[in-house]
Amino acid sequence: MLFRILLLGSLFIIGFKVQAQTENELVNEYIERYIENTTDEVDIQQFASDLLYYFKHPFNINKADATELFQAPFLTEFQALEIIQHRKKFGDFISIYELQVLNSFTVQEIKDVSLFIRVSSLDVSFNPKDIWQKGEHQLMTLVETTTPKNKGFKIRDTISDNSDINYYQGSPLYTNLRYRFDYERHLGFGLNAEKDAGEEFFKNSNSNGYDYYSFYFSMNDVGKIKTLNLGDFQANFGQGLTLSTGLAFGKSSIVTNAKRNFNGFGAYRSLRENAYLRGGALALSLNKLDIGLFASIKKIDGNAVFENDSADTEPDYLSSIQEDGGLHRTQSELLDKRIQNDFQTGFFVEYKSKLGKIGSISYLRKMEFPLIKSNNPYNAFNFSGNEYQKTGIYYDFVLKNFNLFGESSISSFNTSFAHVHGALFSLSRNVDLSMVYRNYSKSFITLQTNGFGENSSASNEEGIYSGFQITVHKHVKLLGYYDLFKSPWLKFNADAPSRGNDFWAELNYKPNKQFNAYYRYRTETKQSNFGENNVSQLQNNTLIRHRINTQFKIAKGIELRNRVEWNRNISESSSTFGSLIYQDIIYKPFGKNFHLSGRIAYSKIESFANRIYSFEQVPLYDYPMHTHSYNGLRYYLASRIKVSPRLDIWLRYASSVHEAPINSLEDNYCIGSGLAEIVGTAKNTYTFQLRYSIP
Amino acid sequence: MNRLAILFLISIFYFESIAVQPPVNNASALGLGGASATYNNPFAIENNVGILAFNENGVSFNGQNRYGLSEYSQLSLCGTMSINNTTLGIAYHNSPLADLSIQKYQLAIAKKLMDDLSVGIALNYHQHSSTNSYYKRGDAFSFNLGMYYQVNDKLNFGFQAFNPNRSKIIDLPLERLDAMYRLGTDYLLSENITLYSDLVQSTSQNLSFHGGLEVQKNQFKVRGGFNTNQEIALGLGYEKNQFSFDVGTSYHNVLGVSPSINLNYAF
Repeated sequence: MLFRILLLGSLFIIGFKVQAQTENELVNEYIERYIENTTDEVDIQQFASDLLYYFKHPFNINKADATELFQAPFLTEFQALEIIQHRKKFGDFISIYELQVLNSFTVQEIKDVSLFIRVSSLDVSFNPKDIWQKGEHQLMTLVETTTPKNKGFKIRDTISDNSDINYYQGSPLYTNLRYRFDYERHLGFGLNAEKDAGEEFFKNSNSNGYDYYSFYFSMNDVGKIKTLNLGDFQANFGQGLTLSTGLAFGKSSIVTNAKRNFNGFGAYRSLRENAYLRGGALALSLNKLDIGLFASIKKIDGNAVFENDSADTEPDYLSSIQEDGGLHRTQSELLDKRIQNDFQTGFFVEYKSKLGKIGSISYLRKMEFPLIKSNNPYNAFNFSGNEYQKTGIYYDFVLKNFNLFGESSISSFNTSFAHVHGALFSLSRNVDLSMVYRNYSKSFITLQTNGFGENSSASNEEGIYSGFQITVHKHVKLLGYYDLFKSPWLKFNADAPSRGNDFWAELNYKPNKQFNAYYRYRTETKQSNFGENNVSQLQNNTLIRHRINTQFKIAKGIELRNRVEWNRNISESSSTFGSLIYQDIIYKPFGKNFHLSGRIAYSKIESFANRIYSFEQVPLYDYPMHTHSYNGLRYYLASRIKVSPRLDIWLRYASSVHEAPINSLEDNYCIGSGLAEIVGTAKNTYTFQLRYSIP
Repeated sequence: MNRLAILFLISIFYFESIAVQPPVNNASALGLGGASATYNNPFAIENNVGILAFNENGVSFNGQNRYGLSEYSQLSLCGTMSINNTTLGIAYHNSPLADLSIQKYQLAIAKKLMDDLSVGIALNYHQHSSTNSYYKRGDAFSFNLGMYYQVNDKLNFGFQAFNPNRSKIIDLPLERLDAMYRLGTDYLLSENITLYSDLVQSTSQNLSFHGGLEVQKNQFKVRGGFNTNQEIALGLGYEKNQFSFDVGTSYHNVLGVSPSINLNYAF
């Protein structure tokens, strides 16, 4: 104990000064870290909301259980593992500075996480009288539009309303409205509304205003109530095989992302229009046992098929349901709007101990119209029908420096199974490893799943993934993964069982907190159809990617970043090249109410397979990934102005200027296709966001 | 006959962009395989105008020939003048290729924003003319923006965007000047050895890498480099009082040798 006090004393002496950062900067930093290398779709609104929640309500690392520590987005799994081990060995942390004795934390990382965590128990117990006094309100609205107008708007401007021609019914403005109220970690409610560009606003199909409304009410840790959710909520359990309504990260630069850290029911604050449950969910905490149940009734979008008579008012079946739909701009899109009645109910039981947890989740789903996919051979084993059940058993244990986790799930369709089991090992001070095995049957129902894999669909896949993180030197880290996978049955664009592999490595150099550089290499091989006259055979497609990235904080508040990325896609029939180069300037003077950032980028992309993603500075909650799938220039200027302690404004202008092919006339060049087509070589985007907070 | 064949090959490799993507503009950079985003001399007005802020007063002349062809040469004259943290630059380039003649006039200003950060902008006027009656005369204005920063005593970075708006040379048929983005770094490997490298992305060619080493011993400099456009290069430099000169040559795997010479005077 004496040693520990002396150690802490010295740590205090060499302690650090935490630089104040706004929640917006922090949230954007974490979002970038998580999604910049993933090509999967990410639910930015939900993820940003979750991060903000931690920022507003730092959690106690002495009280948090293993699940909460693993779930915290600002801690790596290995850091969580070490915190658990340290607590077991030495008892509670006396100070945040004590994290410096853990191998997995650098001083900079402690600074970063110190805004989200604490070691003392300052939790405010739930008191109904304090709700309005201590609660916080926040109102946000975002407006965005692009120029020139898409073809869909141009048609609208020239024809009458009752025309049969498909066109965008509403204005080219995108707008949303978000209100939330939070009382500590205990109670929250909010309203989210959204109108996509092209959707009507306060007229015809949307006479109530926005196209999408979502309301939630949530209560956490009040007496024996672990969570109570009313209105729209999300449910995520285990490793996401049985029930996971949100989005999860795929393979990315964070090698431990292979593990899911889901924790049951939660408030739904996203704008993804079908990816929620609507009704009620209750979870109770009874000593070591958590139990809960939910019921949901909602209407979701689907592609309706009218088989016999086009005059039918009801479809015969749906060819698909859209878990992430929400575009209702044209007459045909409006026909699919909320066409499917969807009822779901289920329960879970979870036993927790010092070692970890084991639980089971089971649910039933009934839909009004059957879901029948197209007759393509690759759909032969896919779910069809209007009712199914799924049950899963999941676990997550910590044994010394090992974290074992997994889930096995059974779905009622063809009695199909899915399994994912993995482990994280902290082998030594400098070496961390992860391994995950998955085996998803070809008939396993993929609706509302988020299993780890090559595709997040958790079906028709078997694979083994191993990740590593090695501290080569004080300033040098080597990290990466190798993933081997195969599909026992056919897939879209693969008319035979196929296989592939994915290798990713990064050498990261960070000599000080001002400068960081890395080189990243990735090669991924997949198989797809190749051949003529309807006789296909499989060919290997290999995409080799390289990236050099540097970040330099040249002075307080000024950061310069640049990147060069290039790739080559090689198949039997072609070899294409893509590259991207950019320079960023980020100006965030400490203590000033004005932030400015800008980028100039140029991409040269030979085919869509060579497309490159980049993370851009955007207003809070806005989607930050840009796809460079064209030859041309991309630039933006984004600013944030803190008008008063309560009022923030974001302004952003971005432009993509495409190069017309040398053998085509520039005047005839179009960006996009169909109704989204824009005539010309430039596309400009204007964004305005406003936030008003009442603390 | 051989000359015709070489000219034909040049046209295959370069003609599409020859009017707008100039060859390496000075002997020092040529000796480094074309790496020049962080190389500090008056020719930086074209390679990375941001570095000019770290330049003293001086004038430089460059003469070069490409692949031993008298039809393909270039002359450049650059001057810089520094006042406090601001440097003004001026340059003239003349680069004929057979029937085509390209002249470029540049006016630049670069400023140190901090001890280790500078930015610059150059305004350029391009004149394209041809004795071939098929081609019309085309004039255009363009600009280039550059930035240079010193991470520490050993490591520097530079970035330049040249003509990002792709100015038009002629309307019909539409022809635009090439845009070029250059990101480079130099690292002091030891007391007198510096490693230079650039990644260059232009609108007409795929991403290319240029790298080279410069070894300095007393008044002498020896350079060697290569680039992924199939070229290797060598160079020498000598400095005496306010005068210096550099020679460099590159060898292209197909097209042959390109010599270049700089004469510099600092005041």
